[in-house]
Amino acid sequence: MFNWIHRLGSAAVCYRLASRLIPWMAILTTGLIIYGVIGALYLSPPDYQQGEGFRIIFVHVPSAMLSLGIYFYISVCAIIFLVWKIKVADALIAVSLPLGALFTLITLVTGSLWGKPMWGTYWIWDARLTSELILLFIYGGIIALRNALPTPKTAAKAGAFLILIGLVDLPVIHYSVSWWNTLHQGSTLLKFSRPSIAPAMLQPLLVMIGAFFSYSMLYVCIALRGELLKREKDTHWVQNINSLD
Amino acid sequence: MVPLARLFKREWLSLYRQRSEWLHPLLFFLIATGLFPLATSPKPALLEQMGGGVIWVMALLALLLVLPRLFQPDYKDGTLQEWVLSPTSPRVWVSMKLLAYWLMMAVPLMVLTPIVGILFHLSSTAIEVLVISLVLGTPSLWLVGALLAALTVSVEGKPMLISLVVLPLLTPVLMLGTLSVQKASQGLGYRGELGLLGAVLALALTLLPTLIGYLLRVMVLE
Repeated sequence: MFNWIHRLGSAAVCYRLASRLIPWMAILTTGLIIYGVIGALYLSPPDYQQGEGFRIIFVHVPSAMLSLGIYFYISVCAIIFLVWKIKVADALIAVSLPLGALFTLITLVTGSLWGKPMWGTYWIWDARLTSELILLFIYGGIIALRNALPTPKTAAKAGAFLILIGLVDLPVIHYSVSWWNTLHQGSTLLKFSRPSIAPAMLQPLLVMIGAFFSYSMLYVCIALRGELLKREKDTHWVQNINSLD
Repeated sequence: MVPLARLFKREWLSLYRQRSEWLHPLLFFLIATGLFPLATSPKPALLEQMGGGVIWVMALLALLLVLPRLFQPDYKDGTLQEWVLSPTSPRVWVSMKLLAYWLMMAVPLMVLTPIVGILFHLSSTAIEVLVISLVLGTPSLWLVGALLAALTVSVEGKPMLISLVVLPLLTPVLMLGTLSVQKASQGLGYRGELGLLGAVLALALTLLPTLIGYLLRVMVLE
């Protein structure tokens, strides 16, 4: 078991693993997206209150889950990188950061598009919206820091530290923001409480969440291959890449 | 082991002799807060409502002007390398350096704050709470800022970078500080916010000097 994990630290092994995973992840992602989209757009009934407009939930909720999920996963990578100095972990961070920032942006955009017809405004300084916005800024800060540092080695190290500092700060931000808002203004626009979701809507939602997760894994596999080739271009295994499989 | 007093004196003197380093951010604080009434409206009710927030944000921005040069001169002339290699714990001199900076900048800022508060028509309770919240909050801002200054110590000629990275991380302190002032001017209880600011400060004071020292070591020895 330990030996197997140890082998994952090698770029060549990771490259091969990613290459093998790609077709399977592609099939899974395509299947889930087709099934999820049909379920979301045709099979699930319109909401009794929000009508057809509620269907944006099938994009909004999965991206919101991934925006935070990717942050936790790169935090784990950062710990692995700092403690065991495994370079593949840093390559994973490098390819996953833009993806996490993108999902955060998608969450904000779909949320504000959803907010306009339902709440009557594109933006409101609600606790969850504000936390998500600050998360986007944190992603931006990490990417900016990694790009600005002179050598890849320092960039990797400082980036990993910053990810962990952000991880400690995120709950503090979340709680202070929700306290700030709940004291500042009561629910004027957020009056409706979402009913616990009906099974006919829940099922496509779960499928879409699965689709977004498998899409992320597919993207990370593809991007990781490129990143590893770029980083290890002078090594033996990359030079003999054609005889690898 | 270098005695604390001598360490502090060194940092204090080198800072004092570079007057523009701390005087210009303070002047920036004064001038920039003065722009808000000009740009929005001179109505006392509006100014009172936003006064606490404006002063807090400007105090934060004044800090950001100093941060890029917190460790950089020492890094460039090799002092930092000597510190890292010396047997003195990095925690000790980081604390002394930050103490010197805080006394030189934050204390005058707190003297200026009541004057600015009067310009914004804040009530005397609100001004009192504002000063207390700055006393409790600015050291946390400094410590987190110094953490990021340590991370970016090898970056040259990109003074905006540190602001981009540090601002989102500092939002909780900013919100708690502003909230306490707002509640004080509305006549509500404000001790909870001040208590939380104190809690953040206690956490930052105990953990961050060690972490800053460690990060400087890692970044300098890279």
